[in-house]
Amino acid sequence: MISVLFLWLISSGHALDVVCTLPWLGDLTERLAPEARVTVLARGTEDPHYLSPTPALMAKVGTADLYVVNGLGLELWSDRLLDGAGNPAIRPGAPGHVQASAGVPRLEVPTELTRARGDLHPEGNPHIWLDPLNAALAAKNIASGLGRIDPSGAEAYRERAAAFEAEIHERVFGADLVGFMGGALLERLARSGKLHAFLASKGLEDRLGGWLAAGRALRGRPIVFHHQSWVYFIDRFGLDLVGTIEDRPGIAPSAAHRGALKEAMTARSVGLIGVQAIYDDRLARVLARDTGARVVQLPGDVGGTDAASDYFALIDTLVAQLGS
Amino acid sequence: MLPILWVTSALAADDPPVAEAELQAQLDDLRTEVDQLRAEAVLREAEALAQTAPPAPPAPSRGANAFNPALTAFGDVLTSVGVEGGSVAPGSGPWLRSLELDLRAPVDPFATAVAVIALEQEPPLEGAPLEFEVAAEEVYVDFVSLPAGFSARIGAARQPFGITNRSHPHDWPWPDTPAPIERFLGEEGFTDTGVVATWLAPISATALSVTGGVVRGTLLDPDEVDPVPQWVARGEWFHAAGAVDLGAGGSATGLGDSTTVGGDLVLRWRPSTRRSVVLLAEVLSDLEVAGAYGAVQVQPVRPLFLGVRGDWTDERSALGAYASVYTSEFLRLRAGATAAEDELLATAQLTFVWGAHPTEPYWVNR
Repeated sequence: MISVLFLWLISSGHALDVVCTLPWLGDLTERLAPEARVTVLARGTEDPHYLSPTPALMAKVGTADLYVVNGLGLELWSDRLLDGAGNPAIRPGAPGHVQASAGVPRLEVPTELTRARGDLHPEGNPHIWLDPLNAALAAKNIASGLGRIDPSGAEAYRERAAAFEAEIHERVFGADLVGFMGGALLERLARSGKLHAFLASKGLEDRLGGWLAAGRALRGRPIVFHHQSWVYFIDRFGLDLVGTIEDRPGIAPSAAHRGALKEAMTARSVGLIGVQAIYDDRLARVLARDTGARVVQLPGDVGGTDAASDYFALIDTLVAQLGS
Repeated sequence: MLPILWVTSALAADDPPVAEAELQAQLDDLRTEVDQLRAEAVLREAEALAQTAPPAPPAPSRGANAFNPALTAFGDVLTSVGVEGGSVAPGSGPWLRSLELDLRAPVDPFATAVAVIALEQEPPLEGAPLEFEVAAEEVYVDFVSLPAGFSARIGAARQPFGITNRSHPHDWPWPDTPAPIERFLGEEGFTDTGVVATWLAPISATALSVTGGVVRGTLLDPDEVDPVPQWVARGEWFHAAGAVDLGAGGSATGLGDSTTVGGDLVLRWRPSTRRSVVLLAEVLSDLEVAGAYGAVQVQPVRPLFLGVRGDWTDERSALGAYASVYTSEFLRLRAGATAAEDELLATAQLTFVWGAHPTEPYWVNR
């Protein structure tokens, strides 16, 4: 009954009120529904694990028609927010609830669940948006949610999601190669890990464009990151992860681990340490001083730095900074 | 030979020029066709290669336990040393304040159930024997799918009075109970059984909520002389502006001629998850006497929280200082000292969490 009332309200001209937990979700939603009022709960400069479910955030969620969450255990504060918001239309399972990560192939699913290994995410690494191909999947999920609560606009949302996917393919692989092979086929090859070998075997490497071409310097580059947020970016761009400063998520590294990491960095000639701007970079700077590496502050989400003004700019910035 | 060559060259000189153009066109068409066939072969090979992509890892199976509630256990161990008149007070030493088991899960699409079962010891400094008691601290159902911004809680729960009373001692920024809370809401805080409903105003720009309910009356009528329910009410405003959170609230509860009222204020500046400053104050009164506490907490680096708190009631005034260190989200070490008249209380506290990720409203001390 409540869903019917909401659908009537939407169809009678009410502007959609969409609340997204994370900035990248807000950016995608604005592209799919430019006429909607989109509110983002976390800032790009905030650690999304530790957002506080305050009454102010509950008030924002309380009036939402659609609630978009990343999922995979990233926003553990979300349930408490929904409980306090008093908005049944957006609870899990309701038409107004979207889990953007649904259907996205997950990486780093733990084989052993124990807090002795730090603050693990039991369902896999949740930072899915750092692989642009996953952003296209998330856009389809968001478009489905928009279509559920606004059936009159469903076709338009689907078309915009398809256009976004097409743009993602061109940005990732380059317009020339997409025109020749098709974005969907290239995506399947990329996800299977066989893209570069195939292109090389067919003499098509020079036709690769987009981020994968601009990020050629990233392939095989040894790197250290502060936190285990980057597995999806590493997988797409072929970086060689030598280690993370936090060997156990959320736990300060021991002196033994820092020593081992320093040795590994020296042995592998690691020249770059990537630290998200939301983290304290003091340990990274000490390691950099001891090994001759360079610390680069990275945006982890849209708005994480001034340069990462939208989703495409986020990936542009990451490719440029890590490839330099 | 020469005559044959002469004849053929003479004949060739008479072929029309368009034949060469036609041959060139046919050659171009053949080249295009070959390119297309090559491209199709490449695409077929790519399709075949892409078909062999590895499958996604299966979701972990939970079998019959799939719908079990999320279980979190909180351990809270204190060491309290009292000094009175220059001597160490009897009862000083370590004690287990509580082991709480928190179970919660959706019951159906309309309600979530919570049960908090605690194994507790009374503070030995107050002369209580070191015995354990088991208590059902909270057992309630939250109706979270009510329309028009309403939610309701039915059962035994910590009542919505003030700020400190709404969370459990192991979640407080301090190791001890603020004197006015103990004076007006009891040693255990205001927990009672009844029905409480909250309405959150449909304004997204700021949070305005009103709460009202009726409970059994164990706070104001512990001996149950008056068989009438006790009412509870609270109004709260909370606003977030960038890195600043500001909240103010008023609470009241009454039964017969007895009424207790309270006002609270909180200001938090949190520019990042690594730094914050919190100001917190509550005033309570039974309309005859009043009490208050005020606290400041600073987080200079991510795992460290430093705070001071001043308590005032008609019976007692105290000043305390505290330092908390989190090795992770799940383990906290704290040391504190409180001075009151001629008493000094030093406390060390160890709080640990295991099981499901904590879901408490720990927004003050995190």
